[in-house]
Amino acid sequence: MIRALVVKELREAGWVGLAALGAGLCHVAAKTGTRFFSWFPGYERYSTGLSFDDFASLQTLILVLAAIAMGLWQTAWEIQRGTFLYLLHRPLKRSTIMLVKLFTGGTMLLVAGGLPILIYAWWATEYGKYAALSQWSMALPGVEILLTLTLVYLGAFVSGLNTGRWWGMRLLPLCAVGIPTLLISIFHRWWLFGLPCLVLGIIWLASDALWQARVRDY
Amino acid sequence: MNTAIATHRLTKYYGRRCVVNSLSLQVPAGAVYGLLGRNGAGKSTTIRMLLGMVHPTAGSAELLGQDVANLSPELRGRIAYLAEGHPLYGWMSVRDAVRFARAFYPGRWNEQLLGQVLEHFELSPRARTRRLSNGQRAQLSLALAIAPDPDLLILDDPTLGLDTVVRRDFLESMIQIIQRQGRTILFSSHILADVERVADRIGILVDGVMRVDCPTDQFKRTVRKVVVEFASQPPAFPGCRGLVNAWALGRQLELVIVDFGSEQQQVIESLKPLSWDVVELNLEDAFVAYTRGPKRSLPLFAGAVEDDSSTRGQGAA
Repeated sequence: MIRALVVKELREAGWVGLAALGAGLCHVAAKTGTRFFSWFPGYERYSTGLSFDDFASLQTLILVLAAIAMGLWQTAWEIQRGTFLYLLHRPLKRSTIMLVKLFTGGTMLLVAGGLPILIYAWWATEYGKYAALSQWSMALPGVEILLTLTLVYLGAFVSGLNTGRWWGMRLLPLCAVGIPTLLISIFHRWWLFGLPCLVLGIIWLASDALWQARVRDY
Repeated sequence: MNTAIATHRLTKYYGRRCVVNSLSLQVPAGAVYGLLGRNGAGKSTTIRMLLGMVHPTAGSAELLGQDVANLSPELRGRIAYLAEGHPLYGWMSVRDAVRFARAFYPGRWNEQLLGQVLEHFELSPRARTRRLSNGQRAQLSLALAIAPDPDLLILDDPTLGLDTVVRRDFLESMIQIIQRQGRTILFSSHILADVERVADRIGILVDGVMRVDCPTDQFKRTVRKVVVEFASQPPAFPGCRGLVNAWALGRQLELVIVDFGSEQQQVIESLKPLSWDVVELNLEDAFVAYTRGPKRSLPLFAGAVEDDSSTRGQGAA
């Protein structure tokens, strides 16, 4: 049952993950000076310094858009098509169905966002690529941002389930996660302070998604 | 007698609008129940409340003896539901849709029955569901719904949007399935001929209120139209027990009455008519009389014939 649900989510929302991964890989190709990708924003033919920060900023934009698209696609789009009526009548707990959605969507985002960061870090730390010293740890801010962006995904997911006559009210959870996401991502000692806040935020938003899924009308 | 579906004062408000009003319903196990009503009468909301998709504002409902507020996955597995419009995942092929649905019913899935139904409907396993016609989607949905061998089928307007031939084919298949297994079926529709062919009991919702809940034959037998002829403009009808609707049509007064008898006859004769006649109604006419309300045809077309100003309100059945 769970496998069927996971496969369904991968087939249905996989395009968002693939698009994010594709954009991320294009970005990596551009940053590493691949001539064919000179059209892509951030292209550097002769890079003279480490540019993890530059890399992270465009990668963040890609992932924010992907997180919003993924969250809304898995909920609002399914409600719009009426297939939630079919899905929620499967003999499974509603919370299980929603958790599978969240887990699959979140994993797709982390893979689609993490892979370009890993490839870029691997390339940058290879001997001879940069004049300056570079280490794997320099990629950590990118990983921190990637993990923090799960809040945006969850905010979009909750917004898709949210009921309200006005679109602004429905998108409130998505808008509301903006400031916490920003604050958490700029914590100085992220793994010590940012990560616990992020975990609390994830628990809170996931609980809200399960609650919304239980109490809303379909 | 076992009860498959039971509701107690089930009520749903959307904002200030009451969509379903204090609905109390009992559907015995093994019955085929037709839920009738005009568009917006509350049929789909009622069905969604029965399945826990919509939360009632008040009241409660039970399916196969379990409160729908806490339907267990096991019980949900014994209930088939065809939502309005037959929503299926468009990217799935028929084979994918079967594989997906089958995964949720280990031990209950009747592959042989499914194969027979798909073969009967000539549905290609490779066809994408988004490319199927409305009729084919309905057929696939029905096949997927019965494959887990459900004890209860709840179908929300299953023949909506189907042409006459496909509709008939679909209904005949449904009848075969019913006869084969003796299951309980509740389906909503506003196509009366469909209901007449299949349902042995009907309920009529009018503006969210259950106005009729009885065997189909009884409904057809007890609802009568009485045409009363006068020498001039008909007088205002004083009302009587069982009056559903009354309206003037030229020099005639037309009444729709439930359980027409001597009591109603006396009221009519007290008006001193030239003549009066009792007309039998088929299910469709009876349904229309029940659900139409005070508005009749457009004045633009009816002005020469009908006198809408003398239309009376509905009475209680």
